[in-house]
Amino acid sequence: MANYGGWVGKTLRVDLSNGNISIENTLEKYKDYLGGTGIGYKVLWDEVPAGTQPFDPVNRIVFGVGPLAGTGAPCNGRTAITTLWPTCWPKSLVASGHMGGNFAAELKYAGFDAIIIYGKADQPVWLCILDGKAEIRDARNLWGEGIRRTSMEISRQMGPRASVAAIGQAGENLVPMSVVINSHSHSAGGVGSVMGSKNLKAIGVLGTGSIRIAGNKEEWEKAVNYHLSLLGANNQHVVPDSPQKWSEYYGPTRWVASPGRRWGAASSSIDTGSCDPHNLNRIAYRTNNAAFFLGERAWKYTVRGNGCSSCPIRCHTILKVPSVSSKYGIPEIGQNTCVGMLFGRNFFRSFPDGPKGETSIEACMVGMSLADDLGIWDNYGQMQRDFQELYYSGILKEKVGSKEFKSYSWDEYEKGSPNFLFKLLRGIALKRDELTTALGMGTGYHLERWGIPEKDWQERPELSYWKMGHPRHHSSEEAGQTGVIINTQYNRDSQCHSHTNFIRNGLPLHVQKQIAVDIWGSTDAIDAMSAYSPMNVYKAKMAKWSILRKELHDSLSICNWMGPWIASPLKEHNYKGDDSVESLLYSLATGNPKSREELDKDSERIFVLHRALTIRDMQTSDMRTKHDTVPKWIFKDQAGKPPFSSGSSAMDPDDIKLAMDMFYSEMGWDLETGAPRTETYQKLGLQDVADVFDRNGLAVG
Amino acid sequence: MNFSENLLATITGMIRESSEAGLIIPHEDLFEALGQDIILESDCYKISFFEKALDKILEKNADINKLTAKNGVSYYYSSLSMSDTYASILARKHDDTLIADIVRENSQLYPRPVPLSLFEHSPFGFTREQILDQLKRMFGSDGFQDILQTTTSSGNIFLYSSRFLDHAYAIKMAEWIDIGEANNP
Repeated sequence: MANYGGWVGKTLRVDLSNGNISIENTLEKYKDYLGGTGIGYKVLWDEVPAGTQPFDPVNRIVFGVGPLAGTGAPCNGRTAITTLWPTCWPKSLVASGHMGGNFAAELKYAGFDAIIIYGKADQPVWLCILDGKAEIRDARNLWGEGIRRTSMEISRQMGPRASVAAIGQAGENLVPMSVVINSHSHSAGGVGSVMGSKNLKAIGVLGTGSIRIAGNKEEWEKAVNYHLSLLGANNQHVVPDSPQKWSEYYGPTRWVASPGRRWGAASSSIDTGSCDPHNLNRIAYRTNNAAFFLGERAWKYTVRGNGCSSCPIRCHTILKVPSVSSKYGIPEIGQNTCVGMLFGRNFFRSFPDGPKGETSIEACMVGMSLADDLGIWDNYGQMQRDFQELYYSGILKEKVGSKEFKSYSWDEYEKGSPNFLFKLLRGIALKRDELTTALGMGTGYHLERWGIPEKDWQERPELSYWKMGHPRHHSSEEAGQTGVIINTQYNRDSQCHSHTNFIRNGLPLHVQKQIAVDIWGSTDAIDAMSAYSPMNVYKAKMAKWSILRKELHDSLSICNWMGPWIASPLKEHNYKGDDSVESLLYSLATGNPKSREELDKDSERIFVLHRALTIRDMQTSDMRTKHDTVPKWIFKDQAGKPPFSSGSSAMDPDDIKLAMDMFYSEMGWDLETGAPRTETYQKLGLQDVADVFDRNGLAVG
Repeated sequence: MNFSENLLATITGMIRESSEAGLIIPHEDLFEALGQDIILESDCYKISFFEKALDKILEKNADINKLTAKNGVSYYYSSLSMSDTYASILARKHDDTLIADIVRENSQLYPRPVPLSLFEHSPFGFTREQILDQLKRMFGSDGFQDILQTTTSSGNIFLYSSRFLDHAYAIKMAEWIDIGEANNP
């Protein structure tokens, strides 16, 4: 076998039932699946029989990273964790969660591309991975502890540079809405309870190895700098949010640095200043997600940005809010991004000092402190939306019984007091009562438990609920039919940012359309947000491209939250990026030259395998009507405007049928069922899938 | 007419330095500065000579640009470190039509409404009271009938131009920018 760079070549296999640990060659089995989600899907296809439940010992949990993890390629800190998803309703199906931080790089430095874990330990354990060796260690002293203390204790044993991915009490108690977290705040939602079901408290990794870059070192460095030159701020927003001397354009983006905006809680207050995109040493100043999400007030509490290995974006903002220590007894320092940062705030409808006042920030601090220690997941904010709806509609009072209802301080809740979160979040992690047990199950299961039809949630745009227990994730509200198609394809929220990060990058529409011509063949691929035109084939191409780039990023271990890099902040390039930067980095790192098209084919193989797993485990090839469904709310505009009118985000039912036809056609799938045809599997090198489906009657075409 | 290379280089250098510092430089400031330091060696006390020197600089240096504000003041900047967009905002900073101009530009170009808060920050730097005063004057005046406002569910005001955006689109986008973006991270 060729001596490839990028991969370290070994996959760790751990059977917790009997304590067996073995090592297998990554490339022999998984090279065609690249890494990350690719390895995860392949392992689930090969090793987890249809009908397996998420907490069954035979279920696998696969921590996969790819050939770019741990290299100098920008934004390579993602670990994909693939398993049967415990919040997927009404039946668990394959899905992946993704955590940033330092775990991915450290796993590679320790000598592994992936960890495949199965079985169930007979008592709590943690997995110690140190320079090519793994050992199962007793975790009885850690069981019942939060993530912070667990991580500290394991770091004390392994050394301060170790990266520890741990679950909290929520995962231990098999709360489906639970996470695994490494590097303080980098979580993968939904998988904590799968680790808990295996009595696996944590994985600690530490390595002193390095990643071999197969290509010419100067070319590699040039490629890395080239990629850096294309970066914008968080979410690849490529223009600043205010006029700056170097910038032709500005808009409502996450590029919030500006002269006079300061990291006010840094040891010496730092002016983020004018971040000319040509100055690669100032990329980390561009983003402050606390300021973006919490408002101007957050600047004074900002210490700095934090983030993943090899990522200059630093999207996890560190905040220092001294008041919370005395008021709530929590650490004055907290860090996170997006829904993690908003975890506590989003439970409340209002605060005494407004949505961006001090109390709102305190609620964020309390929420982060509790959720990231107890290890609770919020399903892209769905838990909080559900909670508000259940409370204010009166359903919650009706379902939990008066004694339990009275045990909560609802006056405190309605007044927006962060104190309310302590009982609620601890209760979720411990399944303390009916309310918290139900919330911890995830939307699909708690609706079922309380006899609420799923369709009631699917009719309400403000609830953002999509299907199968999960919410929309960048759908019609911002990307029209393209967003709808993408949101039909996964077994949890779609987590795809390839489309939305382009649409929301801040460039004028006419500039975006010029880039769209290069990538998807026509200006018609995109519309102004909420001024949608009828479906066309270029939108289907964009949807396919977006999904394949997501899978590519998740498999190479570069961050789809930061990509794609098809637009850039560079005026001299007409703001164009480069859709072959992934193949450039892959080819140089591995020494296995692949064009953009060849890598896209790899990612298509990976995505189609995900589709095959879904078909196999649902025991139907009728994806079109049984899986790729849309909620009714997408057909309504909140202001009552009809589809295709200016200011309307309403979709048209017939147009969405056409959208799915066009997407299936682009994918080479059967139009009637939405299932890949036998020839599609064969074309992608998935003959084994075709054979299985031929035998069990799930083959199409 | 012959210009000393030294003079041309000095003027060009001043414009570039000024842009690097985030400023556009008025014609008057250039003239004053050079009158003290360099002019003695040549005949360019005469305004016309100085004007021609500036024309020469504009002709020879693609990065040097001139903007003339509504009040007739000419400004110079270098596109090596300053965008046309930024320079044009600075040149209009004291125009009473600046807010309306910016609103129209955003409505036409991107297209989107802009929050009132945009004008509180650099490079505008207006107080909320100044912005509201300007709006009050605008809303009652001829020539600004296209400038309209919408208030989001959070109570924040956004401005747009009806020449380029219809009301429904402006309402939708204002709500998205103010609330939707952060609720859909």
